[in-house]
Amino acid sequence: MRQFILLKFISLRHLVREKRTWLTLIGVALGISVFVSIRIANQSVLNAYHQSVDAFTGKSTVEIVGRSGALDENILKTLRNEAAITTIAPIVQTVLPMSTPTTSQGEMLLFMGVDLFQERDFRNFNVVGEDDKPLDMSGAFEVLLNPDSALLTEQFASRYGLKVGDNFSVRMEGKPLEFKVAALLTGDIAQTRDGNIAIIDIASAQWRFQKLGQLDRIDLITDEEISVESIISRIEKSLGGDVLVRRPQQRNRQIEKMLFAFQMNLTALSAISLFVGLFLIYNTLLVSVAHRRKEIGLLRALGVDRAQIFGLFTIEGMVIGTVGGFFGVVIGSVLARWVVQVLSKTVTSLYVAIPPTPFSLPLSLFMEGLAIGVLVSTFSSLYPAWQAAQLRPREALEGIFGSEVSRINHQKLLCLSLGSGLLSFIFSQMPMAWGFSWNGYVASGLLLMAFSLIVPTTILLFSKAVRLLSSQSSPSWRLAQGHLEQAIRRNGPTISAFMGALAMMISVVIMIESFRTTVVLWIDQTIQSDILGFPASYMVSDSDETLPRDMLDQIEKMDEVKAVDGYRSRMILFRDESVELVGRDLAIHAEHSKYLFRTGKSVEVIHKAIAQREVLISEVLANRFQIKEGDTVQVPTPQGNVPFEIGGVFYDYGTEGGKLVIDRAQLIQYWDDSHIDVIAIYLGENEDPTSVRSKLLVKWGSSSGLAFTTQGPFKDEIMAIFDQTFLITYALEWIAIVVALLGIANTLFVSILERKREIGILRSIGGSQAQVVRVILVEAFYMGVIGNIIGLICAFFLSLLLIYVINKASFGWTLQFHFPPMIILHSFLLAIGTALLAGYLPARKAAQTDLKEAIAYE
Amino acid sequence: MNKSVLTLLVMTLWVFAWNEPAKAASDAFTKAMPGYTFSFPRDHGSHPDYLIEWWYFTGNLSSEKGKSFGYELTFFRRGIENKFKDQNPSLWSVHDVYLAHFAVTDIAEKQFYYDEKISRAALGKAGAKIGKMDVWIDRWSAAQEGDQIRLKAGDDQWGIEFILNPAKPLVVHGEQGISKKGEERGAASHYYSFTRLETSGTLITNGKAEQVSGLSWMDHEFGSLLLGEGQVGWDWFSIQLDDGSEYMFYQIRETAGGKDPISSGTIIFPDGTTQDLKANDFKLTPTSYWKSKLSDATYPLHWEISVPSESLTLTAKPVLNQQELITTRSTRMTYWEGATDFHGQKKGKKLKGKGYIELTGYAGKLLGAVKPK
Amino acid sequence: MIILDKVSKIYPHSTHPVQALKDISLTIKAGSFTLLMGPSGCGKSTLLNLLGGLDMPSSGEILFDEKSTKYFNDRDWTALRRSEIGMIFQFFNLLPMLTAQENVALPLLLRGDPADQIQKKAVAVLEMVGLGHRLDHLPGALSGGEMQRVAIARADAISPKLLLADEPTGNLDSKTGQDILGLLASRTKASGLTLLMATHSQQAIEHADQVITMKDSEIEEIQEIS
Repeated sequence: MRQFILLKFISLRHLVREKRTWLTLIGVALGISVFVSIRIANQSVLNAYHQSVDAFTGKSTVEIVGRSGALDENILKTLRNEAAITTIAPIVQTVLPMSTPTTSQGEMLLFMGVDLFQERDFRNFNVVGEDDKPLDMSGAFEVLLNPDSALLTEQFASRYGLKVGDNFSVRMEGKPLEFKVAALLTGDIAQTRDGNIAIIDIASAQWRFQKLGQLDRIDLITDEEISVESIISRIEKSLGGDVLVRRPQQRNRQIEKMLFAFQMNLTALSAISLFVGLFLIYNTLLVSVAHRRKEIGLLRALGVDRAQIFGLFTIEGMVIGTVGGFFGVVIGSVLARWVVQVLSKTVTSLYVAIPPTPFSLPLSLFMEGLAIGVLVSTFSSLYPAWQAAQLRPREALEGIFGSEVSRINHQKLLCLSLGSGLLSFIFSQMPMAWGFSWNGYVASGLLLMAFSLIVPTTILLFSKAVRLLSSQSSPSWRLAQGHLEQAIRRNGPTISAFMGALAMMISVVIMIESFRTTVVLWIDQTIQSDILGFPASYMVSDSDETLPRDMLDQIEKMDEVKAVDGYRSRMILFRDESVELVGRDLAIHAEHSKYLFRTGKSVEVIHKAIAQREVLISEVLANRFQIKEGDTVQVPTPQGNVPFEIGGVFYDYGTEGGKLVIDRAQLIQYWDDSHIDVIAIYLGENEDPTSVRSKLLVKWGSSSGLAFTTQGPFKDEIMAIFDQTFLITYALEWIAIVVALLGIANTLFVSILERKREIGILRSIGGSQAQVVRVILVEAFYMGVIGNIIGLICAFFLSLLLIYVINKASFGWTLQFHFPPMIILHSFLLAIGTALLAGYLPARKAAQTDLKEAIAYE
Repeated sequence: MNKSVLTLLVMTLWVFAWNEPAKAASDAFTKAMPGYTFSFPRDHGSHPDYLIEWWYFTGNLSSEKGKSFGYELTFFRRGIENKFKDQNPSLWSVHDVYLAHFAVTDIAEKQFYYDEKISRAALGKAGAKIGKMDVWIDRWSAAQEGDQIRLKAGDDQWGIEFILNPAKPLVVHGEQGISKKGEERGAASHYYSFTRLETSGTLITNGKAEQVSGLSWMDHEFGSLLLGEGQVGWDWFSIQLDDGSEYMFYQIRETAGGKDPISSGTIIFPDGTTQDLKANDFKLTPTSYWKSKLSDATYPLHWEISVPSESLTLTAKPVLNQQELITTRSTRMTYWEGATDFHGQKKGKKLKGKGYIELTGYAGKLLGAVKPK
Repeated sequence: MIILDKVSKIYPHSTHPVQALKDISLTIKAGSFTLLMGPSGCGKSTLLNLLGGLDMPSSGEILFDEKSTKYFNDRDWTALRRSEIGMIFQFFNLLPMLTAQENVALPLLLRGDPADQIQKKAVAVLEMVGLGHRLDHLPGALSGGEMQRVAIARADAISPKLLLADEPTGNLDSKTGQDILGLLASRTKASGLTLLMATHSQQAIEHADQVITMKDSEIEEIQEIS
């Protein structure tokens, strides 16, 4: 009860009356909002993904896919003898770009060729025929009997004004493939892939997509009473090693692993704002304790005990946290609407197609946001509250002016910092787990702590240095320096928070810049062809569209053309995981372009690979499967496993999961695959790529859906995709900076409350308002400069962690460290600009201090 | 007219959805025309030139311990008119759709179990051979083995594996090899039955296997022409009496109500000779009704039957009320097909028998009348 | 010469406005040493604040050398404090992070005196108050008397015409207080500035030219000392 009275009469009044409380609140709310919005967005995207996957996977318990490519449909006969299999659903699928209606061009359509009679046990198809009349499975079966009949999703159809009975076409090998909308699909499955799905009969699919005798996947429902594992091993035994039998969940495991890592990385980034918010509460309360020393003394004198004082401040912190958390969730959910969109776009371009994600704010996330607010605030109020409880009543009552002058143990802080730095190093050397570089983040946290710990000492040193330099200069500089040094305890956490936010921002910029520089370098060295030809759909998604078969020969015959490299990429299951296999004309690639091999010269390694039928693998793949040059790997082909020696490991930043490269001749020999996805054209000397490109365009025409790009635009396109990927990262960092900005403003506000008297003195001896403003701004400037100096150094180390630990573990890419020198200038401009911005309002307020009150005291 | 026509009616109605222009559909297929000569074993096999064909088995059996059971197993083949079916080399290309109904009545346990299947041929998943009886979907099958027929259906919870032995020669219905169903040319089917098949084998109910034996009835029928409108359903009876004779009756109910003039029946005497019955030769009178909770349909399950020419009066009483099939997946019709006991008198002498009654068109329209539970 | 004409100060409050000064009219001659006496809360400090421009009168007018301050804004008062008015307080009000010399130099820096003169002047003034040996000490390292001497030096550094001292000895022992009074009196005589000092100290009367006694926000008595 007494605690309640204390709260009611004291805490609440302080909280409501003091402007800085509001500032803190806004900061905390923003910090939490960023975290919450990322959580919401992550959750929404994940839900949407799972929903579409679940709708797609349906009730199947086991699925079968080919290791080297498509399955032979005859294995069904074997499967039908397995008593434990209840239902079998064969699937033929392909992804092709839309051709007509022309408005739909650019969209990719996933065709699923199914046997509807088998599908009903697996997936819920809601089919609506003409005049919105619902069709049952047999009805749908009937309308799909024609080979050009397809079910489109209601969503997709309405997007392009297609109705039942209308025609549409997709492109295959440069030619349109006509279909008719037989009926519309609604319900869960229709939401998958943004509705870009067409269902056709399996017979039509095999025929029209030239997949006779082939199945891409077989879904099974198995006897519930027999363990799935034992069924899988039984099926494996009867089908042999050319197929992979797995739970459907395993299909997505790889994607989910990457998605998880990606989302964890985002969450970790968003935690920065939370971290800055934590500093903010800590700082506010610490200052509050100092500021209310007398009040604490009085309360103690009136019989309030230590525990109650401790409680008082903890609860004040919690109130800020709870209210901040509430607004954080509200702001976060607004923010999330935007984040969800960007995120699903990024995830779609990086990993897997995500349907447009319906925004939802589940109560659990709402509560989570609040809980985070309360937890963070409680945690950060513990130390200030403890400090308040430690005050002796008499001392507190006396409230000696200037007693705040530092009694900081610098040796101890530096030792702690060193220890923290060492620990950080140790963690950075540890292996990652769960596909997520937890150790990298722990190391980053420790590194930030190490640098936070040197902030007080740096303030002191900085202040001494400034004093030496500024003894003859304007009084503002000297006064600000004096204040800074005097209030290390208060300024320390603020500068730390600011430093932390800056360091993370800068390190992320360094990481992205390094990434970018590496990619640019890689593109410049490896993409040497003058013109690239590919289906327009190739750049945007997982299209199965290939180039017309005769294109290679025709282009080769052109006078302007010196050489042509046909490039074919397909997915295989390498060691049970989905991996890209590339077949290309290695001799031409060696002669005209190169791979950046880890060891060895490109020409030599490639020629040896051709001669000895070796496979070349990308670095990511080497890291992923722990394989290296000279190893022999079994590559699944339609003719069984074929051993290939690894001739070289090259750097590649083009694919997420890495790739295997073999000579086109091998691809034709083992896979009988003479398709081409991309054609790299090398022109003779003095030929103009632009005019040859125009010639090619005229030759194949715009309706072919073929894109020809010259080197420059192609590189630009790659970089545009690259930049899109890091959009969220930048946004997150900016918000962290805003939170830090509020922290500085808050500290300066407090600083003014504390220094009213000094300001009064200054004014009484002839200081003008402008001079007071200047003093405060100079102090803010100092804080910005200190924050940025430490921040830059910290960022340097942090970026090393990001590049060599976190990024390497998460994606497997080796990036070349690149420190953009301009970042120093930019960060100083940013830091100082931020600091001055944050200092301006408090400075204005300081200048208008009531003078008589300021000096009347004591 | 006989039961085959009625079944065709049903088929017509479920087939409707697959062939918008019903008449056009039949043009692609051979019509059942007079003068057809049956030839066996050829006609036991599939007739893909005809639109619709089915092999229908029912029977009443009892175990060594004296428990009684009824069963039904029907395979349908339905030709698909698809002008691309011969162009598309895919083995998935649809020429026929196969359907099957399987039901078991466990009289002692008062349990009625049924299941159904539908499939395209799909590389041997389903099919019907030409030249001999061998029709299957997955592991359900009806196949000739010499003079015998082997039936397999169900799973390890409810299933059958029976050997059927004809105790009487097969009976070809109708005249000139066709069973007429209307005045239009080709409005008929080719239809024969085994009316008394001695049956033995394994029956699994609720996961427990038992040896059973008893009598089965088989129909095999194929034709192409679809019926018009106006009929809502029919009642069909197959009766195997313990004096060695069998009776088959049906009546078509019209929308307007009343007995359709084309209703008829057949008597198969103990020596295998047959006699056709016209509508006026027999009388079927329902005596009590049962309402299905699943479909809300009301079925007449108890009947008084009289054939004045034979001085025969029979009372039909189902072994179990709930023998209703709601076949949402395959034929999409809701009907009652149940094992039934018959008691009565013939020329003053008491006699009894077993058989099956099929009641269709009671669940509202023939199709799609199943209310959600 | 400073003239106060019917100066009043009311602190507004919704129900209980406080009248801090009521119709104060008086004249302070240039170069005189005027004492302001009276019990706590009688309005001495308010009067000094008004004269230093730290607060504005609710009504009435203050004239410095016949110049009205009625329409002075913050900038005008700042200018006045930079060159003409020095202030000394009971609690010294030195800036704790600045050395004695820096504290004294500060007003000169604030008004932008030439840099080479500032330090010279600061040292000179500090020497004048007897603290030539404590130039680089922070206020924390000085005694109360020394701190007040630094404060006097700071006020003196700008060579003001008017020195306002609010109980400058109030926080000092009587011996030190005596010294400070002596110092102030001698500074007044030497530089011809006007000194207005609020105090409870009877010892101060011997140095004064005029004693104004206040009570309940009003002037009770003005006593000229020859």
